[in-house]
Amino acid sequence: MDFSVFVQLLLPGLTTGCVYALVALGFVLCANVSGVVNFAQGEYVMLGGVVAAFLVPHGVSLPVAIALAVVAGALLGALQERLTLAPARHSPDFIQITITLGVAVVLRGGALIAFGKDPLSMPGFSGDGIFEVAGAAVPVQSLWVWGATALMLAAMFWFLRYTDPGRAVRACSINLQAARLMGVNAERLTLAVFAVAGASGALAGAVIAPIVLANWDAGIAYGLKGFIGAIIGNFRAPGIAVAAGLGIGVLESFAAGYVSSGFKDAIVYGALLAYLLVKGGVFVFGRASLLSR
Amino acid sequence: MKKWLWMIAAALFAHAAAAQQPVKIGVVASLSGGFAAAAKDTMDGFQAWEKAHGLPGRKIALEVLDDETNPVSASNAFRRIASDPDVQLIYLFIPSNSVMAVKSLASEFKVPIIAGGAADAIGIPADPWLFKVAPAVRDFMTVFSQYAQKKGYKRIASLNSTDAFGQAEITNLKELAPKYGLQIVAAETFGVEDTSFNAQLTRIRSAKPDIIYNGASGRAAILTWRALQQMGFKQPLVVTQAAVSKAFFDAIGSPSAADGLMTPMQSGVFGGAAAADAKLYAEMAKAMGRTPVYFNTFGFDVGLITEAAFKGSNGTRQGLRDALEAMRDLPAVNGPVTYTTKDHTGQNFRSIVMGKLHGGKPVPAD
Repeated sequence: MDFSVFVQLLLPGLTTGCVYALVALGFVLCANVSGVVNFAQGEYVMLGGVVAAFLVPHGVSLPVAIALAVVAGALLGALQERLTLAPARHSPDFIQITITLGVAVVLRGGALIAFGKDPLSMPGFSGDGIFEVAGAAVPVQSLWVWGATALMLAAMFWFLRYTDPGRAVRACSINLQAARLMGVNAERLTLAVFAVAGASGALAGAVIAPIVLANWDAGIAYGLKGFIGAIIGNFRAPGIAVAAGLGIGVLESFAAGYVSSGFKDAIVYGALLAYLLVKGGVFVFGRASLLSR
Repeated sequence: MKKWLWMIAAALFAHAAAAQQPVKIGVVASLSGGFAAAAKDTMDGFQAWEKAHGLPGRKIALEVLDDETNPVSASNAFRRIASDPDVQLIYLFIPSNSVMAVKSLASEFKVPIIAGGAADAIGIPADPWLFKVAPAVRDFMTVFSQYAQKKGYKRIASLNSTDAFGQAEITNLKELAPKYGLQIVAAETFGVEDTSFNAQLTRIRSAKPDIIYNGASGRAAILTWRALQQMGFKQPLVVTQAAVSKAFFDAIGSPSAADGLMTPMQSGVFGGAAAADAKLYAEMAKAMGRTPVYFNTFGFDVGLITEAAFKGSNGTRQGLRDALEAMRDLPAVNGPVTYTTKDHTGQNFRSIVMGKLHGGKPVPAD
């Protein structure tokens, strides 16, 4: 396979990876402030897609449809936190995580009822054309996905690094109890972070919908791949989670292109397993235990 | 003498009374859920058969249960209907996976079943009591292979889902290819929830096929079609019949955007003279008062099979089963129906024609 094939696999892999990166970031932010792994994160991508793709054919202009999708993501993110997690804040972790799974199922079912089972399409923001890079054909909409992701990430990192609430989020990720003792209102912060995570997921869903369509059941796949990114970022490091999300998109594409489409997921999840085993020190401990016998 | 006359009169009365008893048929249909549109069209087609033919001198009483397009509900509904000793025959207007769930129960209740679904495993191995109607996956792949051979194509690329249906497609195609002088140069797979097919299509492009078979349906069919256009594929494209839907046309812009797209279809889809039995098609169209759609033709064919089974039996469960299994080349809208002890598929590749879309309507391909 030549260079054009390499590029043909790399660029669409990056496009998909952008969505995984934003989902991974949402996972990390929510986990930082609340200590909860929010398994509904992928559903906000689905939600942003279906809301925008539903509104556009009904005469709503594209910018307004995207804005409404983002607002819907933010509102539902906030509602999720307020109605389902806040009342269970003192419950064991597994209860809270199970609640997020329940929210995911409800969001999925709600989308099915509200928007139907058929995939919804929407036009590309600058048309449905393609551009060529080194002989590879790439949808123009990919530029919007890359641009929106870059903007979102820049805004998020600026927020985390240079604003007081952002510093508070980072403080919570280091030591929640200490942050509270220093006057951080973790409850209000958690609400805001869930809203932001919902909004960023919805934005990702709206910008990728012209390429992949919007469907009520699309959230699971995004959620799982974003979850892997968050695991690699240890649910603490947003930068690593984002890089991992992008890497998963590219790895998935290369695995399908260079190895076999049938092994695509096995390779991605196998890589995660290998990472966890290495990181968990299994090989080191295994060797030590063997040597000590 | 008087006593004998009374006995003969009583016997005649009993026979007449039995003849007036309605034939009780149970129906498990997906009247809600994902398969609802197809099941409703099937019911409409069956009712058209009742209007055009029916069972001479007998009324039909249908007991219909909705399985909500759910295999567990389908099994439960089947148990409930099959437990009624008055039910002589059961129809399954439900998807393949639900039919497979019922297949495991068929011999337990010993009631003849006429079922929908395209999965090969419904008809082979044959359950003594379960009879499929539409052709199997291997029949569709046979027609695709025959078409490729006829047009002089040698190198085939195939894109199939990882589910049972997709794997049945590629397994059959691999078996058939050598027989028709074809070489499978790329066999790519995808998950039904995948949103990117770029890598698979890149591999297919590198393999330089003469013709491409795409087994995707629903969202995957739309996304692969778009990606094929964007990547500049020029090869003829054949898709599965399930790919062609209103949602597909809406998503790609218009029905005419898919002009030239090919798909193996049952002949009843083309209607009129192109139907396997134009006379039966005309009867159905007249009874419906409009142009029938594919699942109408399926429902009408179920009626024709029922008619032949009652005609060739005493109407008992065992009698109907035996009559069904003895059926050979029964004329039907979509093509002749044949059952043997080993094969309960019903229609086969003879009822399938390679179609080409033109303005959203199928026409027989060259």
